[in-house]
Amino acid sequence: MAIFPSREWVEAVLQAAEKSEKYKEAAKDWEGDFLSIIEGDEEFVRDLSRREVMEGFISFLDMMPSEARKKFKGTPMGDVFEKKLGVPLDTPADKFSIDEMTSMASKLSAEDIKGACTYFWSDFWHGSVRAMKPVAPGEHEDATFKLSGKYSAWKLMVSGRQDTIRLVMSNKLKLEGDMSYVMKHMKAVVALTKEVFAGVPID
Amino acid sequence: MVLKGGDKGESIPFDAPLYDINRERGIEYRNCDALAAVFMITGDINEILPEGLEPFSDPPQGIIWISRYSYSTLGQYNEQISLIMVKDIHGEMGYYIPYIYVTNDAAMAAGRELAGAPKKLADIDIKNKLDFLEGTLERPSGKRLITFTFKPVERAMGSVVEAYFPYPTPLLSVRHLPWVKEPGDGLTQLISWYVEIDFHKDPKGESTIWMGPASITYDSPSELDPVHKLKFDEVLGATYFQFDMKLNVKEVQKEY
Repeated sequence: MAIFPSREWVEAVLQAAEKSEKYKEAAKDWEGDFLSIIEGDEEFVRDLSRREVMEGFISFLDMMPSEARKKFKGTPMGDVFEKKLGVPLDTPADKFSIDEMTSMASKLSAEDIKGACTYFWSDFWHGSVRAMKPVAPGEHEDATFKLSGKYSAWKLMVSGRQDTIRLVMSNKLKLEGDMSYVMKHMKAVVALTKEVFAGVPID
Repeated sequence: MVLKGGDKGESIPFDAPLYDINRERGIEYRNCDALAAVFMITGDINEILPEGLEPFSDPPQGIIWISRYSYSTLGQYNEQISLIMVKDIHGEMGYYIPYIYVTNDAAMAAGRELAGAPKKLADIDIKNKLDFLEGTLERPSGKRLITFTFKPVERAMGSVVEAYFPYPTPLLSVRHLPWVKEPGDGLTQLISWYVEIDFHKDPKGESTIWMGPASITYDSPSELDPVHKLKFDEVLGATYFQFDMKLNVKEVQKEY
């Protein structure tokens, strides 16, 4: 079971996409990158107070160059790190005290992380996932599609418990971009959830 | 003018038209509700698509719609529509209607004569049963062609709803008048028409669209009314909504 989001999860998703013939076939015509925005919520706070989730989340952010991490300064997520968890943004990941951060996270409320967002960028191209990585605020703003929503909604999607279309229809996830293109390639969207994301069980 | 005494409308009999249409406002509907489900079609639909139209997506997508119109300028009636998402002559997305059923004669005649919607009369209903809404199509009475069971769970909104029901929602059908003396003196045209769906708002300003799980079955397939030709494995999304609507014709896209 992988933690979402974590380095392990990203690697497992890339592997699942590579292995899935159904996904490759369904998405063979798809061209378009996604900027994904995960907004912190009550469930995120609750999960962060588990050591393995904090460790996974730090491993995810560690995929970003430290220079990029500094771009969070002054954002709600930057404030969570610097003011609520006491970690300067340029701290190397191996210097993080996971236990201490977990303990501090357990004292946070949803209000404390209001507006705090994590960003990741994925490049889907003709049935392959050419890239999936965390990015800093402002990066890849020109992505073909933007998918945003609360952490709890993201977990529903990446676990395969609810499909992307229903989450977008209920406004739990907000999809921006050329919807005509999405409708034309609905099979790829469905396969991404069912064949790739759901193939990576999350904790 | 056709009648020596002057026509009283656009449909026959001209001295007592079965339906009429205000060209500017179209056909108007108030206080309607509908069940609609979107799905990916399995199997070949080429045999029921007219020349000039291609599926919009691969696989093609379809919609089954069952509605109640408590008031319209064609009277009160219910309707069932099977739709296929297609690319029209201009390459734009639209919905082609292979099958459509209504419960009154004015709606049937107007649909067939104005837009080429291949309407037939049938028994169509939406009933509240337990915690479900159940839409049904029977033709003739007792021969159940479709049962659409829906459980409203949460509100639907956002870009997907707008994408499936854009404003206006383009429709396509084939208007046909058989020839009389020889092939060529009849009429066969691909007609583009549209509906403007105005979803009702609740007191908080939210659209009254609900989504939830749905079950759609072709209970007793009939070769005489083969709505079951729109085969599917799984419903992508199902909704129940309350709305007002306007319907009008747009252009002849193709002569056959």
